[in-house]
Amino acid sequence: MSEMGLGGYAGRVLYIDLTSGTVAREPLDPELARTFIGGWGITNKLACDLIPPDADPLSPENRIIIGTGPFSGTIVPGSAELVVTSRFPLNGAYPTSCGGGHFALMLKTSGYDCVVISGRSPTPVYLRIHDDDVQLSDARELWGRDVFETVDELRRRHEPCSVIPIGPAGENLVDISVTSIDKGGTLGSGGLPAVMGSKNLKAVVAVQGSKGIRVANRVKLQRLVDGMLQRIMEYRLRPTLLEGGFFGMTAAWTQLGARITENASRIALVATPDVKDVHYRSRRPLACSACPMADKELIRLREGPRSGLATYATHYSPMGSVGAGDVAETYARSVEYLDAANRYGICLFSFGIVREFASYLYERGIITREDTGGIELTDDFETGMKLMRMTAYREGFGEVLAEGLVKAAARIGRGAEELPPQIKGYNIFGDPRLTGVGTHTVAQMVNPARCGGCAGIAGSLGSASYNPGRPIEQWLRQARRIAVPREAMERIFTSTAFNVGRLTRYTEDWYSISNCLGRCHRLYIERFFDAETQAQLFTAVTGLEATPAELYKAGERVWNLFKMLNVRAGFDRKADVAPEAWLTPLKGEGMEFPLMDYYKSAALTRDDMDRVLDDYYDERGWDPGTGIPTSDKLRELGLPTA
Amino acid sequence: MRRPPIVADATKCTGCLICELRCSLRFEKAFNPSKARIRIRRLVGAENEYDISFSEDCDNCGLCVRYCPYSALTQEKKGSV
Repeated sequence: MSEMGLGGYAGRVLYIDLTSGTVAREPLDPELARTFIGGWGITNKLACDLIPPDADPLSPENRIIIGTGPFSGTIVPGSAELVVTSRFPLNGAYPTSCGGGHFALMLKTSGYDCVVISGRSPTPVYLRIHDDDVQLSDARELWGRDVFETVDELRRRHEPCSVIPIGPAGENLVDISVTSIDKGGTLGSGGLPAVMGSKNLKAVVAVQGSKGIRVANRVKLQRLVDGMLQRIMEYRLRPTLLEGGFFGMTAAWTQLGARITENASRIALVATPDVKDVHYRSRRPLACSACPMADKELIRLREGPRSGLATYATHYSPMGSVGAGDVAETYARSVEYLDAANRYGICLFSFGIVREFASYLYERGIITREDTGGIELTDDFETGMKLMRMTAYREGFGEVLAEGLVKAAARIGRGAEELPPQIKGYNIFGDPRLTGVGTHTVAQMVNPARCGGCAGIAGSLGSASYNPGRPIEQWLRQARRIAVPREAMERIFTSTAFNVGRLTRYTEDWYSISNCLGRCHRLYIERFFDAETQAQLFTAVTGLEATPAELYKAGERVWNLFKMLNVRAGFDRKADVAPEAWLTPLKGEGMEFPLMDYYKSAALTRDDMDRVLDDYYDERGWDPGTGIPTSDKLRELGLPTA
Repeated sequence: MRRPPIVADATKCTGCLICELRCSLRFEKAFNPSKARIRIRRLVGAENEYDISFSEDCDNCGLCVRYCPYSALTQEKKGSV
């Protein structure tokens, strides 16, 4: 047990001021742990207390707050989750930014639950944390190196360690930058690297420490984990996951071959080369600490002129998106494209959408070669690579693309404000006109911050939420798994349908708990957690008694705190509405896809989508007019009302 | 009776460190990879490749074998040596 008397926590918070170079350590207040659990709960609380509301994201006053939870670094399956809270430059929000790798484990074995970084270093430095030896080291030699080169060099110096680096996009304060932990787990889409760059912070390195993480009841913990592991190892799709990774599990999606074009107004069927065989030959699974479901991967090309090229993937994106020529060539180019994004530290999704939007404007003559510095904005691989580099270095037209969709459109003007679907300045994952409006859709609308990663995951409720048209029994089973309160179940479910706005509230609170505990919320591990087991794990780790309902209350408290933090950033109901583009049917290939409910029983209008919001706010106990928590709700949760 | 040695196939290792966590919990009563008898080291300069070794005080208890989810560790049954 740590000095604070609770298992699972290291018991200390590390404070670094880059301006003065000072380091301070303070005990973690046990009350903070009891009220906000840990991880994301505590980083949100510290952000509320420490980041001045008017702090510019790229100013020394902004903080980078790194948090781990009580599960982090233990044997709880998938307990590698690291959370970072900061004010991000893309849209000024305070997002959820989560990643895996070994960082949480390494940090806690050095004796820290959280790290708070403030100020701005006069020269480039990197922060190294190793037990009580905490150093800001000269990083002038590292400045200019890409993400992977930086990690390689820091590993040479400090292995065993875990590294959060930045590349050129972070150094050049690119809003659509993202980084990765240990090369493999993306972190901070929406500009965490730019915040680090503004502070002259090239990397944070957690070296494996010597302090053990003690838990309250290790016998009970092992028994609970053994029970979970038995189910995990017997999961019928586990071999598919280990063989094919995310791609293997989502092959059905990519085989659809549907591409949304013309500013998200048209759908086209495209021949997608079948890259399965070459991908399976090229990949090797990569696991975060304590994860038996390694769904991240190293990809190494084994054939063709780019043979030997190695990069890392956390999702299915590399395959088939920049097709040209045969299967091997298509695959190789996809991997090369992904590798460039990884190395610059650019978010592939955010870059893709702003690039496609620029091409759309170019085709219509809204922007011309005069704007692009002579570059013809075509959809080919070479142009994509060139624009990505220009974006990472903010060169020429890249200066515009680097700002992300909304700010780029505003800068271009001339009618460019007619944007493709986006919410709070961040792109959408999945198009609900194809899938129907599910919890992932609503979760993206109402997410208080949007950027930081896939906010849709907060709407995750097992595989039902990732696939269209799943039977109501499957949703009911999942709702019971996460212990949606019985009285709420009656409001949410009929025998044939569910209220998507109301249900989303509970998926968010469930997600909130996982981020506070420091356990992964990715589908393949999340499905093995149920509310009762999770509460027992919490008690075994910390020694604190908690029922599923009490954990829910803590999750709700943290979600409301997260909301209030982002109300500061100016986001209220107006920022939660469905994008205009969704209300126009997708058309093409003789098909038409209007926005419809999850079961596609009826087309939805703007009024219908507003009613979804009304239901969501009602279920949350928030003011339906403003979309903001009421004073009564905040008092009920013990949060400040001012 | 001496337990059979543990055989590591590093090509199957994914870097999850579950073996180090389980081992250190047994010996140190805490999750502390620096004190584990099994040691997973990332090969610097390679990608997603690891070296697996055992310290002298490893007693081949086989806990790491039992919990490796990727079959990177094997051990002959007790009594076969």
